[in-house]
Amino acid sequence: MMKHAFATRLILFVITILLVTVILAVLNWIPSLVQKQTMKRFSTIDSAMKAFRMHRLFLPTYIPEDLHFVWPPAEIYAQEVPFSAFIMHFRYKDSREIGLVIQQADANAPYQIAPLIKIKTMTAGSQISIKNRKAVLQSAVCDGDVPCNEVSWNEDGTIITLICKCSAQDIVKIASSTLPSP
Amino acid sequence: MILRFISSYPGMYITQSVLHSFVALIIVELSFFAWDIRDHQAKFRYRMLTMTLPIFMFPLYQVIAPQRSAWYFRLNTALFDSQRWLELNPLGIIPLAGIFLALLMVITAVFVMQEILPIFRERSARSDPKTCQGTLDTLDAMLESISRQIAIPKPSICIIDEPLPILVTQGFKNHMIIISSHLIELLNERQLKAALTHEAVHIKRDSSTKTQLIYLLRMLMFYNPVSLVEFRRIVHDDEFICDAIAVSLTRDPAALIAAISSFYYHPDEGPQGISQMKERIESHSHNLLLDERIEKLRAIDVEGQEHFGWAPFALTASVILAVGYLVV
Repeated sequence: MMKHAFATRLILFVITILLVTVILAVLNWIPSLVQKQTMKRFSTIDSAMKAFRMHRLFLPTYIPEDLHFVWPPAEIYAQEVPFSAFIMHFRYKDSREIGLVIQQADANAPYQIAPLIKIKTMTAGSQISIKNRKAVLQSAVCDGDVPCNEVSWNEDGTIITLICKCSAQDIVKIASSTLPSP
Repeated sequence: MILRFISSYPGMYITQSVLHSFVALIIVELSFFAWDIRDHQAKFRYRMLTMTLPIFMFPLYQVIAPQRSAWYFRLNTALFDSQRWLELNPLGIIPLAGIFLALLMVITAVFVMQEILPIFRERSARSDPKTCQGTLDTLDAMLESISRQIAIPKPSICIIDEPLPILVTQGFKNHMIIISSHLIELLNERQLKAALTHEAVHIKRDSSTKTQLIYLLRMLMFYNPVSLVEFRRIVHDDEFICDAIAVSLTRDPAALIAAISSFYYHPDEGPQGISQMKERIESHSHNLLLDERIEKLRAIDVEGQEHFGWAPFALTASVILAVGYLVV
């Protein structure tokens, strides 16, 4: 009898909690109706460009074959509000792990969008030139104690950042390929 | 500027602690319904979840999963992302984050006006404390018997010459019950015993220490509207608990009801100034609490209290923590 009463109450409790989660999910969905240009995930680069009428997108035209990254990017995100940003995540062919992140965001953004690949410790940093742009190249150790590199520069008010679990030479080659030839 | 603050760690702590308090409040209230919790001792424990958990939830989650505050988690995993709302700027003037922060500032102002300034006022008023007029043998004997019954050291009694009904317990280790001569004249022996038993139960439950600790938590969450409401409800719950225990000891709810009724306060009708209005509002809320206590005493079961179920309590706490993890 006691067990039966407990089970009934437990079911009632589960139902009420499910109701709370549904309400939270609905509340989370409402802002996307009010402001459509907030961060969203897209299945293709074209659909992101169309949705946000992006005119300048810095896409890599060269990714070294031996890095085994899959093209097109596994995940594409874009937003216009509160500032414009475009993010691509590249996976390895043989795993679901993200090995390359390319982000572009408004240089006047009120806050930075933290890249998915997290840098644990910086090991070295230097100023380099990428097709006549001043860029910063930083060698680091990323999540999972994997060596990685980050390169970033300001392209006419847009900060472009690449983080790759690859060598400095490879990331510079990928970064250069995002820019048109002089 | 506002959005930068909201996405910083202090900003995220403030936002998420308020959200987690709301989530905890809703889950706790639903638990009362789902588990059919009516006992105030149980309600007191559940409400403490609403007061305590949100203080630690954000730092705890950050230690367990630092990626939880990142946009990637917010977009792909979170059940509710506060930034989606706070970044909204429907009129193009100010983001909702600005309105949210303004609301928290109002709550902070209410906290300072209602809970901090009175402490200073009370301190300055203490420069002229009422002196004890000694004690009465009958009161001493009554308190001796009550203290023996509930196994506490007999507190001292202080009778003060006041034309108002006053009965309070002071102290943390050495307790003292302060009673006004007016109240002694007003109550008969049964009613006095009921009222003193209620105070003795406060001592037994260590209500002063508990209230101070809860107040400390409340101070940490000075900007939180849920803490503002829940703190009062917890203090009220403590009164209901002491009433229930007192009645289970005296088995005389009518006497306690009569004793409580003597505390009704009706300020004099005077000029319609702000201070009079404030006094009227305060006396109204004071009288409402007395009404509620009397109502609960009328419906009380003298035979005993409900058994506290730890399993539903643990489940509720776990659900609060789990849902809170997904609310960023």
